[in-house]
Amino acid sequence: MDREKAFRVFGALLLLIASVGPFVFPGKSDAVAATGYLRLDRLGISATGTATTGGLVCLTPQAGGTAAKVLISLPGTGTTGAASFGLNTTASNWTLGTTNIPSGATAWPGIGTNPTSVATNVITVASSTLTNGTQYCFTFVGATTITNPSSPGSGNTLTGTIATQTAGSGALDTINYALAIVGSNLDQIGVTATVPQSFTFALSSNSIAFGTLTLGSVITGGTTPTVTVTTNAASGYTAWVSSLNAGLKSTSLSNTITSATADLASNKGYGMQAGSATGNATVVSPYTASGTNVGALATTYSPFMTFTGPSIAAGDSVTLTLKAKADSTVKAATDYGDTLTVTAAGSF
Amino acid sequence: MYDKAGMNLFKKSLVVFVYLCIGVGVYSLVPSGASAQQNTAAPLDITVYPSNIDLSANPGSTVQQRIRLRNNTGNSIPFAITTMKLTTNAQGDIIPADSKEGYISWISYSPSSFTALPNEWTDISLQIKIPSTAAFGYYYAVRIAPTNTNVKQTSNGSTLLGQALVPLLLDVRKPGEKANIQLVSFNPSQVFYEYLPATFNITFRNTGNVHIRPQGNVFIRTGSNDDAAILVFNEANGAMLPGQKRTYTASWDDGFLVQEPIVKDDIVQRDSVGNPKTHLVINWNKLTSFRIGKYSAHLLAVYNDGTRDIPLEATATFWVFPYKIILGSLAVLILIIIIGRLWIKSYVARQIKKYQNK
Repeated sequence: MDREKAFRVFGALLLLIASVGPFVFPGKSDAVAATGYLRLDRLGISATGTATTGGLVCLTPQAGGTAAKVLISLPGTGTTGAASFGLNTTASNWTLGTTNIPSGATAWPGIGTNPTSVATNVITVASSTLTNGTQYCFTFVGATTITNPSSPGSGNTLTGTIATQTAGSGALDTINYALAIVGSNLDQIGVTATVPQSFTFALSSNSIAFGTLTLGSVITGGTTPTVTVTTNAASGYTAWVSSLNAGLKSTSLSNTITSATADLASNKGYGMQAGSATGNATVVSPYTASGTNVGALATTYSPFMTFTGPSIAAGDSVTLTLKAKADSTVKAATDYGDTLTVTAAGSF
Repeated sequence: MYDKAGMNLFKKSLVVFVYLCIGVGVYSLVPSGASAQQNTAAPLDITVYPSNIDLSANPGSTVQQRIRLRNNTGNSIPFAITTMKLTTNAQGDIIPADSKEGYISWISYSPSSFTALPNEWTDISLQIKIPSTAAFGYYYAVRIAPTNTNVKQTSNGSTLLGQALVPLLLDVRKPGEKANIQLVSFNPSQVFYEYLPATFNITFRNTGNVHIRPQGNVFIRTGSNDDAAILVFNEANGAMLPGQKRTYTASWDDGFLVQEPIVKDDIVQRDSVGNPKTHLVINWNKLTSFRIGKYSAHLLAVYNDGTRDIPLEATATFWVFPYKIILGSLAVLILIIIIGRLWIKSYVARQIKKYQNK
């Protein structure tokens, strides 16, 4: 019994220690390493010795301490060569900035406008105190800053470092990065596309009724269809109209109210107006007529709408209005009619 | 427990209800009597590309092309593809026309008729079998027209049929090809402009047997013969058919004071007769481009006759004089001078009187 009791006490003690122990004697956690990278605007070899146009430096420090400078060392000796970047050692040629940095990154504080020095293969940039765990970035541009190596490497074989230091050059964070340099212009993808010339034609309705043509009165068609042309053709478009009968014809009587360009106020007749132009559309005479004036409708195609360039995005449009007038010389019938063919095409 | 009478009534009601449902269903399947149908054709809305075709081929060869058509309506539409010719009217404008000339039959289509489904593209193959005897230019319009056009008017009125054309220019290369254009006229739209833009109309007539694309520049020169501007015409490389008279335009609108169209929501505002409304725009960044005085416009147009470039030249003069602004400024200046003189005169008279009184 005593042994059993002892075992129970021992087990309880063990459990207590195991539960409380980690809080009383916390173990050491693994250190979080600083992370960072150098991104160059071009990764192709500089076959002609021309310089890249800059790049981006980012670092997420973890070392704590008061950073006063950051040193970026590029692979090589600072002179353009097979596996070596060339650096322009005139610090004023390097323009530093904090715009266009990755979303979520913080502008690197204290970097100034130019590096403090550029020597051999190391660029030294001033810095203010950094907060651990925060990603800081800055960019560098310039007409002559970095010249890429003169020949491609094999994989990510070009390595360098980004290191923050205190004012006394005490080491804080250091990260290693690797770059892969490819053949000349092989870091670019050529993109080509073709936008074909297209042409859209819409006619909003296809019947216009006059109803009763009261003798001596100018009657306007009951509907005014809209013709809409949308095209990106550089030479523009033209729309034509042709009439089957060149007039309103009664099939039962073989009698026609002939179409002509005229003022219907003083003449019987039949014709068309094209108006309410929108977009770039230009109405062609004689269909610019207004009031009681109309343009003639013929059996041949007559242009009524045109433009010498592309339409607006929503399309160029005009509305068609038909007018007719009968007088006592027109035989009575209920089937006076016509068929108009409205045609449009892109210009060439 | 259950009311037998009520149950029977329910059963009967249920039977009646079922019969009713069947009856309604059958009725809905019976076609309704013909109503006064006005129109069997839906409005047209189609997209085609390319918008025009320009081909060059040898006699005896076969050329193939593809046209794409999209029915933008919500209805299926039957279409037929046929061929028209492009010709010119008495005014020299291009117009399509039906024709039974032999070269029209060189073109065949596959399919030549089809039903375009709503909001879908249809591909049409086009083949031109060119005889060995063919030569020079042939000009077609591929007609794409709906065939459901059996519309009957029940009262006085007109029917509208829509169709789209795809111009097709074919140049059959053969010795004897004659590419020739004449410069008909070159002149500014006005001799006197108050403000820019100054617009120049350049009219040519094609007197050859193939289509031609004239291009060139208009050099605007000041009185001292310095180039004030160099304009380009026919940047779009538009062609002229044999027999066609075509007017190209070039516009000079680079200046301190320019009349520009009033644009609202990307739409040019127009007056009651459809002409664009304009307003005066002052481009302060072009203060040194204040246009005033007499200018000359020198046209240098060029076309290729098959072997070399042929130049065509002409000159015109015009004036730019913003008289309203200048006269207004002069009037203000004169007024200032007059008021100034009157004030000085009055001041002197007062001073004289003051000393005389002393």
